[in-house]
Amino acid sequence: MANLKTKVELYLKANSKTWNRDKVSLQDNSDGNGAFIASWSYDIAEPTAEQLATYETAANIEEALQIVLDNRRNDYPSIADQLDDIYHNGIDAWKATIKITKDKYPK
Amino acid sequence: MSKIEVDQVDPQSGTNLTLGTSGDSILIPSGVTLANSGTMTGVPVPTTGIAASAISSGTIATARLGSGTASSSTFLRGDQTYATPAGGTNTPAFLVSKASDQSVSNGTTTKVTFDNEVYDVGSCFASNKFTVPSGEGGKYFLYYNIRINAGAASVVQYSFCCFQKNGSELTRVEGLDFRNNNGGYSNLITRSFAVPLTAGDYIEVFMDQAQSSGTPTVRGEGSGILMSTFGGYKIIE
Repeated sequence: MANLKTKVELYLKANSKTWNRDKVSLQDNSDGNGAFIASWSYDIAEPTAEQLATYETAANIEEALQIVLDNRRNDYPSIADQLDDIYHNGIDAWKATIKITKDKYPK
Repeated sequence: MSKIEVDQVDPQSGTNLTLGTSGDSILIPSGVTLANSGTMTGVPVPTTGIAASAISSGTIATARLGSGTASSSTFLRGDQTYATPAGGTNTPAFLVSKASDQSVSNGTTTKVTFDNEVYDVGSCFASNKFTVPSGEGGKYFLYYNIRINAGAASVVQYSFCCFQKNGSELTRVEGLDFRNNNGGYSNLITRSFAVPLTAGDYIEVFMDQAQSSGTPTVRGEGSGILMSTFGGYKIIE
């Protein structure tokens, strides 16, 4: 099941808004009832549970994509090393290096 | 006036020797020493003229030193009264920890659960919250140490913990704030705070960590080391 935050972010994106924790807070009282929207101050309506449920599939895809992006970011050589690679070996060699990570963590 | 010069005066019969009769005074002139190597009874207690240095042995009864009740738990004050010294105990007091990890929802302010009581004097901790017992209102010193793991490197966006009093946020500590430059892996957020509370008030600890991916985890015990704790005690006033 997708995270509530991801679904809220998708709802906001669909309404041309972005996540701002000063305008929305999620809470979980660890009582088995799960997370809920504790406060909402955007100038659009707070999403209902039914509205959020429609984002379930998209949220799962978004979360899976984010794992890939995080894995790639942690796997890429440092910017300094990449610049050094370009300087010494050229763009094609650099692209080959980058492709190793992209292939390792496909979308 | 006649003068008797003898070395010893003894009773003419029996063992009692009487000096003078009622109303008489026996005068001991200056320079005369009255040396007593025997036993004196019926000597009136002098009311003045006894130097403290003259009391060189024995124990003076506590009742002679001050008023009030002298006991093993009272002390003699400067005003010569026995009183119980000021002070007390820092109770109620508690310290709880997490024995196991707690996975929490990403970017969600989540109540931290504590499943191990190190001590709970006054039975003030239950159901993951500290509640001020009846008759124990006052100032309390509270503290927490919350260890949070991201589960992956360089994914943390922000992380904070807070006390909630009666369901409302009381204090907040921003542990990490990477904004859009995700970073970090594991962090420890600590806070100590003194707050006046009344009987029935309750305090809980909440945490929140947003990550670009993965699941935040509040760490429990690791190799016998308490990683996440919550404690407090009443301040003596």
